[in-house]
Amino acid sequence: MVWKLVEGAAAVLENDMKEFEIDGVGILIARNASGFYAYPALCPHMEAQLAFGTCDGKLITCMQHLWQWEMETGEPVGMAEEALKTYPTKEENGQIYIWFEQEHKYAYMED
Amino acid sequence: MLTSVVNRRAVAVNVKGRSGTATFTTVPGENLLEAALRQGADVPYGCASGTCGLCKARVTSGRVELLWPEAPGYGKKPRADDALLCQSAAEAPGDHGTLDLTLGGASGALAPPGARAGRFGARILRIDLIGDGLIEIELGLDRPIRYAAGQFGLFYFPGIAGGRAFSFATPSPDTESERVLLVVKRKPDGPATEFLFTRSAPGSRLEMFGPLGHATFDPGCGQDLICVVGGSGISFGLSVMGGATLADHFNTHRGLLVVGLRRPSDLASLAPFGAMAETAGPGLRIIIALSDEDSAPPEGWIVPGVEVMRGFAHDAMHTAMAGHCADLMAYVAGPPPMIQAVQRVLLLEAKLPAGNILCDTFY
Repeated sequence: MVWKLVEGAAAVLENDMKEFEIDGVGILIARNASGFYAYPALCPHMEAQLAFGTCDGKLITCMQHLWQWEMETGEPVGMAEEALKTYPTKEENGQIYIWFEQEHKYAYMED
Repeated sequence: MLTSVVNRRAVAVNVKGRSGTATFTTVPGENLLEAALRQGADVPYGCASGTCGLCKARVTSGRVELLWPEAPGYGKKPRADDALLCQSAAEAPGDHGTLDLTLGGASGALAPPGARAGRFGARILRIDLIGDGLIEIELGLDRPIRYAAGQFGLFYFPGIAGGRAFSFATPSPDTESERVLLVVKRKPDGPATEFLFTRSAPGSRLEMFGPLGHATFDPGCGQDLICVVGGSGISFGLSVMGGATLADHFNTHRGLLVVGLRRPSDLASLAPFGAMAETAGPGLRIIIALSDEDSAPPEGWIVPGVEVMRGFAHDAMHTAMAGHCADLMAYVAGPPPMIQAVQRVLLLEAKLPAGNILCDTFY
């Protein structure tokens, strides 16, 4: 089993997001009326923390260069040139878990 | 000026992006970004001064000299082969006879038509103190320049490594001009602004590379405009909204210019905004937002056509927009905290698409 508990993630407010850490890897948890979503903490464009951006329940925006994505799918919107990678999530007994086999990386993170 | 560029001969450079490969040649004494833009090559960039990271690339063949290895644009974990085009110079070609780089992220930002960038010699014609720690500088260039409203230049000062970005404060002239106007805010411990405030005088010489920047007013946009500025960003506001005024944009469209100041002494005279209000069409509203609660405007400071409000620039903008947010372009320039506060209002409250927000960040 690789469902990992994201401690404290259930407290993320609706239409908001927060960065957490799983096995030393930054994970962004966002929430809207439909549920919780998980992504790598950094922007696919370059090393910017998405948690400093905005989440309105539909779109996530990175404040660095205003790239945007559909929150529920990670699909790029407008100027964004690359999709957000996503981790599956589940809610159980009031806790949030993500399916975490290995860290999702973007091209610029590869060695 | 670049002080330690190694290459002594021209180097052919390929910069590979998603949309294709930009090919150009560098000559000794110029960085890769300047070389690319001088030759009209289509490479991405933002600040042109090492901070935003938009021009970051990887060297795949050949060698570069890193002119500022600690530049913030490299991020927290730079790789050994990372090179910011604006902070790197060609050192040697690779085995194939070219220096090859691959862009990390975005690619394909075109320079505005008719505004190919180049190096200019510049002479200070006039320096006036126009507020607390704020000067206005008029420069004479060694040849005419044409630029779009909202663009900036990269200025090189004697004995100071690297260029500093300052927006042109005059609206873009319809014809080429040899004069440019800057508004510069004094930066604590900033060698370039220290030079301008303490060691320069009419006659002082510097160099400029420009015009640069994609946050420009398009006279054919057919949209309402919002412009929020603070600090040195005042020059950007004068340029963008001045350019729109010259184009009679506010006879047919609405405009809102919000200038964020801490207190009235930040800007001794509001005359340039009064003049803009007088010549712009009926659609333009100009608001000065004073964030320091205790400051009282001196007598005669407020001029006709310009409103003064208490509070932060982003709050003043939010109030003045009053739900009007259909199809508009937003221009934002100033210190990063102000820009982020304005962006949040535009994205979360006004639901403006991110593509309609153009920012010029003054780091």
